[in-house]
Amino acid sequence: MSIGSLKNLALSDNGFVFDPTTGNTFIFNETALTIVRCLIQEKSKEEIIRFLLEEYEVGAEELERDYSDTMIHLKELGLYQ
Amino acid sequence: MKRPLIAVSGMNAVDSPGPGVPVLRSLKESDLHPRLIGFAYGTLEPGNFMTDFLENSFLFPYPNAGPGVLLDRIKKIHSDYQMDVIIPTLDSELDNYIAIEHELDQMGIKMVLPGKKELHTRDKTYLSESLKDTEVLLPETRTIQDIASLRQATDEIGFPLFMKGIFYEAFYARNYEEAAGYFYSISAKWGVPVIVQKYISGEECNICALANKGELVGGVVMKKLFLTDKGKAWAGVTIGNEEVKKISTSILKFINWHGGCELEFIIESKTGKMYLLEINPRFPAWVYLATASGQNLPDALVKMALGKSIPSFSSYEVGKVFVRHSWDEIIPMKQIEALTVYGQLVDPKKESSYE
Repeated sequence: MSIGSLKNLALSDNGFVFDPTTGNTFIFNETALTIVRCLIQEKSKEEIIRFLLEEYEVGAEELERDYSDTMIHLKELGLYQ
Repeated sequence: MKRPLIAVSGMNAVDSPGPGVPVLRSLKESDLHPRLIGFAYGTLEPGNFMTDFLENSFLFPYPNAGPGVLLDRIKKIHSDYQMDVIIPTLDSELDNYIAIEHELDQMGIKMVLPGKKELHTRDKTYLSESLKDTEVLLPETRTIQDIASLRQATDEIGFPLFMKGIFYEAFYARNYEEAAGYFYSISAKWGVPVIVQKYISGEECNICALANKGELVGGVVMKKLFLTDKGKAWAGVTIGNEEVKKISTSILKFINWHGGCELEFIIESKTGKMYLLEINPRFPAWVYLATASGQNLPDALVKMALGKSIPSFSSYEVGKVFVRHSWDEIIPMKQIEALTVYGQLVDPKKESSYE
């Protein structure tokens, strides 16, 4: 797994994301944005889920799903290999 | 310090815009505080009337009149406006300017131009041949002189493909009939040869650059965000694509480029491979984005021409966006009259008469 592309991203708190290498822009929801920030900090999946559980009043199962969806989305966007 | 007088061509700020107006806009921000004039081919070229940028504009005969006529016209203007630098910004006029470069130099007018050989090395029709021994990828290309050669070229390349004029314009053709139609319309407008080029599906990104005898002085990479139906960028964003910069540096060194230019690349979606589409031998119409991002390349070109020290550009602001727009200038009929009858916007001897 490589987070090289993620490290270059310009992230705004409102979810607007600019990739300075390709010029592409994206809108991420709050959870996805938090996951991307955690990935940039090189947190593991378990650490990210634990962090999200502390931040949001949502069950672990739903957060697992959000994490998987975000990873698929990042791969589709070519931001995570 | 004397303010240099700089003439810039390409006042056609229309839907397929020339680079003249953004070059003037960049020079307006130069610390040389130059005086600026424009060279145009038509009365209604919008740049003629942008008096915030220029103090006068002059009509010229079209480039097919040849270098002698061009030199005569410049001599006439030089008698009123002692020019220090001319920046030609259109592909089609470069041959003529290269031919009279020595005479202009004798008159004290400096330019930064490639040599005739270098100009033709990057010509669309020779580019594949010029770069065949390098690692640069180019889409499969054929150059044809007549309609009889079109069938073989399209059979070899396959559809879809692009039909391109020697100087300007490119059309997407899905079958032989469309390609033949474009062959006739392009050759009628721009002459032959016509270029047949494989279509690569991907995202375009370009670099606006300035080179000094093959060495990159500065370069800003832009991704097109919005295209007109002519394929011109109407919005774009600066990006930090190091691969584009690296390969452009090696190409400009290889062809020993001298002057402003634009390299157009396409990054193929399915492979990620980067193909060089063409090298334009002058600044692009989006050159002001480079200036706004921290690299005033027209200013650096003028300093090169005048033998001054050239600013060093190590970086630029990434994420800067340009959005072009159209605007109705309201022009007094006196200005149209002046350009039509006298070939210049303002007569310096009776300046007030055309107000």
